[in-house]
Amino acid sequence: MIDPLVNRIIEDARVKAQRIIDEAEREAKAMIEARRREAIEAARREASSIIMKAEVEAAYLKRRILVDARMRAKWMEIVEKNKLIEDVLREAARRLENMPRDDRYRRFLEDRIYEYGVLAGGGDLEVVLSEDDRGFKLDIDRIAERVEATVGIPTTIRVSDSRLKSRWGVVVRRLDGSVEIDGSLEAVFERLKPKLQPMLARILFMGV
Amino acid sequence: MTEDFAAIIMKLREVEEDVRALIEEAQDRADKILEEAQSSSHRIYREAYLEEVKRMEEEASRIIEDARVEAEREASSILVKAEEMLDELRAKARDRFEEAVKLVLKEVMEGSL
Repeated sequence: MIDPLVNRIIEDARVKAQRIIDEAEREAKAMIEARRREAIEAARREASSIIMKAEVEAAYLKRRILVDARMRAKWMEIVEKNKLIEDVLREAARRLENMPRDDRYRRFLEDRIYEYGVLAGGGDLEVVLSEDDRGFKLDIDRIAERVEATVGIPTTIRVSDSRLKSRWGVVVRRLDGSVEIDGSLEAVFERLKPKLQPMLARILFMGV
Repeated sequence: MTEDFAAIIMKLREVEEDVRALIEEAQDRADKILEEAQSSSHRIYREAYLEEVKRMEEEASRIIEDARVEAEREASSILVKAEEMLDELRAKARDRFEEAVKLVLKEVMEGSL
C-alpha cells in the first residue's frame, strides 16, 4: 500500500530535480547569448568608424582613379595634337627647304633683308645666307638704298662668308655685332609657332 | 494498525531524506552550470567582440575593393573612349594635312617675320 505512494514521491522529486537542472541550463544559455549579443553590439558601436573610414577611403580612391584616367586621357589628347601639329610644321619646313630657287623666292629674300635691315636700324650690315642661296643674284645695293631711305642712316650691305645651318632663310646683322635679326628656318618657326599652333589646331581638329 | 502507521511514517521519513538529497544534488548541479556559464561569459564576450570586429574589417576591405574594381572599370572605359577619340583626331588631321601645310607656307612666305 505504501510503495506506490513512495514511488510517486520519488518520481515527482526526480522531475523537480530535472526541472531545476533544465532551468539552470536555460538560464546559462540565455546568459551566454545575452553576453554574445552585448559583445556584438559593443563591437559594432566601437568599430562603426571602420566602415565609415572605409566608405570615405573608397570614395577618395574612386575619385583619384577616375581623375587619373581623365588626366591621362587629356594628356594623350594633348600629346597627339602636338605631334600632329609638329608633323605639319616638319612637312612645311621640308617643303620650304626644297622650294625652287625662283623669282618668287628671290623677292622673298630681298624683302626679308630689307625688313630686317630696317629693324636693325641700317648702318653697316651683312647678310648670312644658306649654302643653297649663296650663288643667288640678289640686288643687295638696291636693298641698302631702300633701307637707308627708310631709316635715314647711310647703309651698306654685304654678303657674309658665314653660312646658315638650314637651307632656307636669312640672317641680317650689324657688322659691329650689336644687332642680329635671325630669319633662319628654325628662328622663323619658333617666332611663328605661337601664332600658327592655334590656327593649325582649328584646321586639323575642328569638330573633333 | 498502529504499527502499520508507524512503519508508514518511518518509510516517508526515509523517502523525504532521499527527496531532499535528490533536490540538493540537482540544485548543486544547477549552481555549477550557472557558475560555469558565468565564468565562460568573459571568454564568450571577447571572442564574439573580436569576431564581429574582424567581420567589420572584412566588410571595410570589401567596400574599398569594390570601389577600386568599379573605378578601374570606369577608368578603362574612359581610356578606351580616349583612344577612339585619338583615332578620330588622326583621321581628321590626315584629311586636313595638306590644307594645314599650305597655311604654314602662306604664313611664312607672305607674313611679316
